[in-house]
Amino acid sequence: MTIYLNNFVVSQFDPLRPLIPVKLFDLKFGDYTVGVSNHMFMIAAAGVLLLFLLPLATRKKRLAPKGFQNLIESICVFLREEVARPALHENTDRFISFIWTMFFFILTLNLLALVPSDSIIYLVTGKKNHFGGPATANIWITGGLAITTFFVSHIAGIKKQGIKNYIVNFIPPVPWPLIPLIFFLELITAFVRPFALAVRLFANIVAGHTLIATLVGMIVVFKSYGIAAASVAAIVAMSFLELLVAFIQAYIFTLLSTLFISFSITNEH
Amino acid sequence: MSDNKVPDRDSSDKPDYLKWASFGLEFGGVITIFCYIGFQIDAALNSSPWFLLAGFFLSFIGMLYILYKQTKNK
Repeated sequence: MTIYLNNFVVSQFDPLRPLIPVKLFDLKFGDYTVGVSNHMFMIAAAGVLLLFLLPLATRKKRLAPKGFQNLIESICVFLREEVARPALHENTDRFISFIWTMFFFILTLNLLALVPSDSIIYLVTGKKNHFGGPATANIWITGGLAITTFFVSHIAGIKKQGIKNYIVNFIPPVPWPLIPLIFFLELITAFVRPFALAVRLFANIVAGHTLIATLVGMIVVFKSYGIAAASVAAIVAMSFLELLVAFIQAYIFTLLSTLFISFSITNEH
Repeated sequence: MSDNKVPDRDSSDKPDYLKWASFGLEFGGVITIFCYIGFQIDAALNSSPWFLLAGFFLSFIGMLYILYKQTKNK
């Protein structure tokens, strides 16, 4: 009976539910209606937040930055000197705005996912809502970001080398009978790269949020003060780890995007 | 006149091990896709498991060969 009840509670408490996109409202553009999900809302919120916060950081130009300006400048300089320049060399300044944008956008989405905004709104207004959620736990969103990197890297490569040279340099110099196989392998690799980029970010965010939701579920399932205390302690620890993951995943996405651009613009083979 | 040269900020003496950061997933991904193509051909021609095996070995050996060529060129 107890097992049955526990299974019943577990089936009611779906740890994946916080990750599933929920439609919030419809936007009408003439004859077209676009459904806006909570993840789309979070993307817009991240965009607005960045448009508001980043200019704040650069409002006062100081030789020795401090406070928020110092934080933003430190991240920007680190990304330019430690991530971009070793890979892109003299092309760094051409792509640094893309790299910075990617990093801050993904980081903001990851950090916003840790804010229980829907619960805060519920506490204040008493109305159930879905204005929150991890947008980077949506494979279509991480896929969109990865496809952006895909197009930027290949278009940059074609612009730099010319389409003919780009295709010729697409494979390493190999004996001619192997050219079709190696070309096909490299072609598939080119498409696997954005896929791996998207899955890496998506899987890490999904895993963290599912684990936190599962730990919350344990309180509901076991209904014991001891387990509740342990769960809360584990949730706090996991939330700190998620904070680290938010930065690490944004960094890894940016680093790999930089590498893929460098593969395209420099003659790797 | 100082003999000190201004360091070229675009040249880097850092190891380029980072370029291999994504190679593992690419390796696995390419093998998966070749195996899937082989599996579909097997299903169409009723020749299981030969095209799947061929896909696996072609992609595995091919990716090893690309890895060898890329490391040798450095």
